[in-house]
Amino acid sequence: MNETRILTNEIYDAIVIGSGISGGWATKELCEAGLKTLVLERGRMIKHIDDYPTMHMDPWDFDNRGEKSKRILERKSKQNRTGYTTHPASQHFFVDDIDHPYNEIKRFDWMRGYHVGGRSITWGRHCYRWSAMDFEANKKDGHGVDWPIRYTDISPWYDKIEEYIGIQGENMDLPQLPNGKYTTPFEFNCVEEHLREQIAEKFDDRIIAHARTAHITGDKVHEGRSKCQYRNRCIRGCPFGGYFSSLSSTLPAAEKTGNMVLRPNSIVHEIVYDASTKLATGVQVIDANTKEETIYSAKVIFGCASAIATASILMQSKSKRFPNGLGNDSGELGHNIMDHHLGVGAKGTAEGFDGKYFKGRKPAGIYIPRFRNIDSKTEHKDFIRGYGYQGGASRSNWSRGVAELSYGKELKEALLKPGTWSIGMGGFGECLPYHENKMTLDYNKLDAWGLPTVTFDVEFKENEKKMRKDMQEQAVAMLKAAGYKNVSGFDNKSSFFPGLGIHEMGTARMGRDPKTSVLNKHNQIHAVKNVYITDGACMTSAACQNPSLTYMALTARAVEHAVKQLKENKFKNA
Amino acid sequence: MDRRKVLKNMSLSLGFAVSAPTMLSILNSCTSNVATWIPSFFTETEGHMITQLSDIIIPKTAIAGALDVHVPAFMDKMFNEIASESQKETMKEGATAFANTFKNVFGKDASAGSKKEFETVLATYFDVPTDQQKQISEMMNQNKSKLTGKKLNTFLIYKFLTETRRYTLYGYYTSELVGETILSYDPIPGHYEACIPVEDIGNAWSF
Repeated sequence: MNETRILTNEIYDAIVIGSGISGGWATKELCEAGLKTLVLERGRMIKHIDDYPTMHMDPWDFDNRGEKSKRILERKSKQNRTGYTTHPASQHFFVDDIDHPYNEIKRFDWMRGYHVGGRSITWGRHCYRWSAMDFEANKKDGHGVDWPIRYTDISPWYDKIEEYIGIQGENMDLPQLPNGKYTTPFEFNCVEEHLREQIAEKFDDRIIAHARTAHITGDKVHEGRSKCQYRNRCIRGCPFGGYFSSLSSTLPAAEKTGNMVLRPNSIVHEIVYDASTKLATGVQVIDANTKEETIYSAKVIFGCASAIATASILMQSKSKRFPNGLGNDSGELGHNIMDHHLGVGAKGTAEGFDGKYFKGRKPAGIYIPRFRNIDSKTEHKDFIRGYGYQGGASRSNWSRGVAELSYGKELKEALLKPGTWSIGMGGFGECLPYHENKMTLDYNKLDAWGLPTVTFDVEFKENEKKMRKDMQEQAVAMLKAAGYKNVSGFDNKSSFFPGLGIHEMGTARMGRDPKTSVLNKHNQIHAVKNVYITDGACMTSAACQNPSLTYMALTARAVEHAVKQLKENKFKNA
Repeated sequence: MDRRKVLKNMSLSLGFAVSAPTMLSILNSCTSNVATWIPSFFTETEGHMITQLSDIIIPKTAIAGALDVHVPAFMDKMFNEIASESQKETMKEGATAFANTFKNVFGKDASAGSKKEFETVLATYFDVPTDQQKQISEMMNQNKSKLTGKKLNTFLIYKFLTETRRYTLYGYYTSELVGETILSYDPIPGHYEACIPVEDIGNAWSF
């Protein structure tokens, strides 16, 4: 395929690989700094609003009421491991597993969205800051390597991101969950409020907080976007721009500068390295449709393709200087894969609220911040690190009647009424960085573009298992203490596989020492300073908070650094 | 070409839009309150059975019933396009077991059964005391392949009836008519009220 290589004459100031949540931010910040920026997205073009085909569909508008078709289940069998991504409302935002295969030595649930905007369209939208203790955790207990940054390095960038994207929530003054820039939180419904009061009364080590999510509430203007309309159809794409995505926010902002060139269907598979300057000169791209090869050149490159894809690109970028992949002097590239473990928690029913209801479907509920291993008082004997819970309360619908044998007029009319209140919570647990949790490339199994496929060899281990036990027990204990009925714990064994949290991290971690890490404190590859990696690949530990906010903050921070380097003419690669 | 094929072909070319008089002239076993649809997964007899049963499970009152929202056609399509092979097989076997029992009880084919007769059969299986309902649900959780004779027959009839009931509820409560005009419908709420008297809303939200 090298015969058809085209070398474009234009040299961009910057190339951003990927247009998801990190790529969108890199692009906006680079363009607003006046840099001519090329964004390369491997998937198809998607336009905000125009390309949200299901955004207004009601249950009866879907063929077979939204049941997954056999064809989708055949084509997307791995994407279907989540259970929800393949629903007809959102399946078009997740890849075809037959066209995009990968291999598993151990099961790894790799959920991908190949299109402009990436998974920023379908993300969970929860935004919790990492705390000082999260950046110090590796150093403290010796797992993984020490983060090269501390909370104070990132905190102003959290401020910036939060104010720009709009996050509803409430400051709770907790050391393990720092305050941020939030707008009016979604109110608790009556049962959530009841739980909050009960937990406040019966536990002194934990609280019920508002979930913090990237939805607009309040009156601050966010250009081109409007307030959350309480439809709770975020995953389909929001025609109101009620939640943050690259499509609703960062890419339009970048486009407005006139500095952005967005090229979809562009599969970056290699970063080109020049040994004479010790810098990268550009990227090699295959057009997803024509399969034509092109090399695009730039002064600086941002890797934002997502943790696994970015590592795959670096591993494919082999040269005499880097025979094991670009920047892989440490041998850590593709290792230390982390995700959050979930699918464990408890649920119950609440009595005494039958006269109460709500109007509107808020897209977030409660958050229970980590309460284990915060200090000496909260140390748990069986595991290190911690977990948080997300959850909420609601009333059941007609489906509560399915398990019965009743029939007739009374049944019909009873099921038209709101059902029992139920309340539930599910944990998000931290996963430690294990060197042996890794991905490799299989050059014997090539994809349709002749590129090697990714093979996963990743598993959760003892610390996660022990933590999980506590996650279920504490969820049950809280719901019981609050006085709910029919309380039952759950630990979905089919959820205990890495990947399912869709928070892949760690494949090119940041660190202080080039011998044990891939990136430095500015997200630069230690030995190739004009390549910045700011997606999940850069994460040195996983904490238990949803990570996108941290990717965005690290990205904006890294761009500022890169822009400064360019101004000082530090990247003389051409 | 036999009659079923004629009907199937009509279904393909005309969808569900075959007019009632045309249908009735062909399907002379249908009664006048049966909505116009042509079974594809189900046989005509089975179509008659699920039509009668769904009409009993969610009857028309002052509020629309299962047949007003075409539950039988919905069931037929779901079984054709969504149900697993084993689900299909059990449903078919269950329908046969039900039809045989019907014939034994009333001495006539289920396709000629009246609503009253279907009500009688359904009551036999569903109007049971609570403690017995638990036994039934345990019985239905058994592995079909391990059952024989009368036990298998009862198992299959309950499978057929509970599946019919389940799809009747599903088809009814998620239908456009019920979702938009009977349940409380609010596709774009615009704001959130966290805790209000249930009377302010009335029926449950449709989603």
